[in-house]
Amino acid sequence: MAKKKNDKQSAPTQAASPQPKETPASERQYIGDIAISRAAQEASDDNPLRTELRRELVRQFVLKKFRRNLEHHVDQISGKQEIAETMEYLFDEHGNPPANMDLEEIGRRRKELEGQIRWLEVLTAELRSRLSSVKEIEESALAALGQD
Amino acid sequence: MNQPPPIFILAPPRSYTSLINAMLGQHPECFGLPELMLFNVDHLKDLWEEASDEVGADSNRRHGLLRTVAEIYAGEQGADAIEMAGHWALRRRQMDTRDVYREIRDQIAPLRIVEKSPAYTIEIRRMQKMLEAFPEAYFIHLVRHPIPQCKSVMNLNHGIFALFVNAIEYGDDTANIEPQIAWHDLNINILRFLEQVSPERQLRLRGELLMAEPERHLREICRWIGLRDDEAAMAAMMHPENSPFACFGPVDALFGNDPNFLRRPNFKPHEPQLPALDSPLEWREDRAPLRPEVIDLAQTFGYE
Repeated sequence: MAKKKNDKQSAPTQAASPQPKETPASERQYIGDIAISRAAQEASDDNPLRTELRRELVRQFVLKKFRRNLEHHVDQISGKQEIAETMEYLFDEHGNPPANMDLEEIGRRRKELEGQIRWLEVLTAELRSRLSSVKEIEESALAALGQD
Repeated sequence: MNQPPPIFILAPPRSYTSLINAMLGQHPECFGLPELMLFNVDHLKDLWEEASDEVGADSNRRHGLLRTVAEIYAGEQGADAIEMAGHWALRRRQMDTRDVYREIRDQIAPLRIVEKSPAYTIEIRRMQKMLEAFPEAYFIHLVRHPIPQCKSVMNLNHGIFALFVNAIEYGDDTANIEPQIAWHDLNINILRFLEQVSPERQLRLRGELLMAEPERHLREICRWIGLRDDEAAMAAMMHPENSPFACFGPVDALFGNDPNFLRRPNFKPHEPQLPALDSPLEWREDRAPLRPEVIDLAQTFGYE
């Protein structure tokens, strides 16, 4: 059976009120420049080298993130492809399922294929976007070479 | 009608926040929420805008709100309920997030909200909004030893959170993600904010102590807030996995919490092994130890 509610107590000994030996928070200095990462921060930084270093760090991070995601998704595709291949034998040479095949099974298969198509469409869009970025870089590089 | 004020856990990420939030949330008089992120923004519609235009990391930040609305209004978190939650949010898009939060609080009452969104600690203003919305709220400043916390930050998507908050260390010709900057400065933000909160309504807790002796520290928290602390309440809090949010959500709102917690929400008491504060740091190429300011703050929190 539940006990009666306790009377409210003061915060226990770990309370965060300034302890006698604690330096007040307002006297402690920040050691960084914490803020949500935004490209606009570069504009306010008057140190061009630092700006460039930061930009490169972010660029490398995003590239790694993209690569990891892509690798993960490629693994998923290849796994699903293997599953799909093992199912292909269920269909005859005209692509028709056996006469006694469970309708639910056919429905599941259709949904799976539709899912794969949707996913591939997303991946295609992602790759197109990446291709256009790479093309832009290539064109800029060629233009720079042409100026030399 | 007087509604019970929420309990907010303030901490940088990877400080046992998900686990302890879910544990307290299982108290029979409480309701633990996923990360609502509401105080990150002024109006609800702003939560649908990109926070960082560089590293992402915020595409999931609406999941906690959608899952919460689905759970408390529809009683489940299926795809249809999440869609309903989206409509719910759309209708309130112009509302001040403090009012949105109060509406959620009223819906959950008489249970008491327990919430943590580590992103609240990025700006003191965000925490001030919590206090403005709920002047009677209780605040638990949860701390974790800086070395394991930083390692954990670096292990989650290669330190995306530290980069997200601009925790960068610059050398002569290098720039590296340095999570101890985030550990230090976010804790300073919390301490500065807590200077505005009455001492009776704030508590500092070392997460490792609760991991080792959960009943003792949970009971202490209950008595401080005025929650019942009988055996049934204690037993309920030992099972964070029973929270409706201690699992992945449907495909449109998968997260709302730390993915590691969502994968393994069970709790087993254990005593975390803590390295010395002057140990070499694995995530640094030069293996240098923590900065003096970080060591000093960690010692203030009781670490050695």
